[in-house]
Amino acid sequence: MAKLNRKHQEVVYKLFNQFAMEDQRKYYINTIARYRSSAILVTQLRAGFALLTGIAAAFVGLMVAINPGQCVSGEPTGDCTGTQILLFVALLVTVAAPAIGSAFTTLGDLYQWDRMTALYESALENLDVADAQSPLEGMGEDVYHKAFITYAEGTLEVMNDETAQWGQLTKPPQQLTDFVEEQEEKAQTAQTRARRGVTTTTTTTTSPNANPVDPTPSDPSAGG
Amino acid sequence: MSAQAPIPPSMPGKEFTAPKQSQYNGRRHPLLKELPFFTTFPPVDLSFSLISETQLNEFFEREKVDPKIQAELRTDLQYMEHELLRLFRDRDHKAKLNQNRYRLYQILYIWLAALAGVFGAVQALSIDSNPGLVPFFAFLETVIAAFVAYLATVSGREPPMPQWLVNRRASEQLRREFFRYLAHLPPYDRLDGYRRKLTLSQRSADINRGVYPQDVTPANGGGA
Repeated sequence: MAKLNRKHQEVVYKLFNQFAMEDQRKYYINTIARYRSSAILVTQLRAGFALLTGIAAAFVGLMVAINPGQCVSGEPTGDCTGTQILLFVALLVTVAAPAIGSAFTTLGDLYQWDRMTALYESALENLDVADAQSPLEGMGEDVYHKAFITYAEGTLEVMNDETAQWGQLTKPPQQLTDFVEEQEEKAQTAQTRARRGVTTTTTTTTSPNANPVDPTPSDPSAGG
Repeated sequence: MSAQAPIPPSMPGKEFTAPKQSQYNGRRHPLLKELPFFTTFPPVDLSFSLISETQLNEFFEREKVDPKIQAELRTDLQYMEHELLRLFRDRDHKAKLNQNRYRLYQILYIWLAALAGVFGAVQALSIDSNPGLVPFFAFLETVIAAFVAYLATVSGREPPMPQWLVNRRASEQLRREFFRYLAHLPPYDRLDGYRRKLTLSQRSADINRGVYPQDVTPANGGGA
């Protein structure tokens, strides 16, 4: 089978167009929409937690400055339960919100939605370029065959380039790599300290018991 | 990356239901769809094909394809079922599995980092206000460090990220090879009968072991 006849070639083109080109196009379009949506939500969450931190910190500052009923510092002049609960919640938010906001930042770095969206958008454009080479009915047999080869090779090339670039973009977030290294060191240090602590405790606890059993050479009752 | 949702082929006398790839079974925000499976991961879908029987029948009917051409295309698809699709399904599943593992570990690290941040901040705040709490938070931080070290050790045996990338690259290459063979693109355009089939088997096996046709040069063993 050196070359397909025109009829067969046309069927193969339509099959390739539907199941390779159009499927890939749909995949890019859906993925871009999904990634964009995820990136928007994560950005909103990050901004929301930053806003919450700011408001809570400002509230704590305000309470310290006005010190209502001397509930923050000094001798309370009335019932401080409500103020203290509010202050506790505000303090909790100033501590927890930045950590949660930072978690969402790292989640964004993990998925890299923005960079992946740019990659898929570029692939989608390149797919259109390949599609522009697609064979037309009015073409002669040889031209049709050549146009199909150019179109199909172009489509596969776009898919190949996208996979290669995707592989290069996929990396674990640096801050997580650093965090894991730090925690491993911390765990190692805790282990070493615990071992040292046990050794010291063992030495101090066994010494008093050891004395009566192990008579010192100067002990006259030891004999020998 | 362009792994697409499996589309099960139709079987005579048997109604097919789409495999449940979601752990939530409902409409979710795209961000939630991006999250990994936390419990069990779906097994390999052995009925998956890049072009399902239903889609193929619909295509033949719509395009009024000559029965002789239909038979030729079916023969190609049947041949690829064992020689290529079997490998594709395996690689695709391994890629998804390792992607899930990688994201699961990274998300666990993200939340552990957030927790460590909260405990660290509370600990710093307690030094002045409530020094008695400091050892308690120090203990919690050490527990987190130990847990991170545990996760790093567990995930380090078969690091999920390289496995994900290697399997995804192979599955995408196999996917392109599927369309290359079906569309009679080079090198299949000048081959006939058993030579064409043999070339597919050889190239698929090579891709599966990580030797990619585009990387093979006469200098490193290709070119024959």
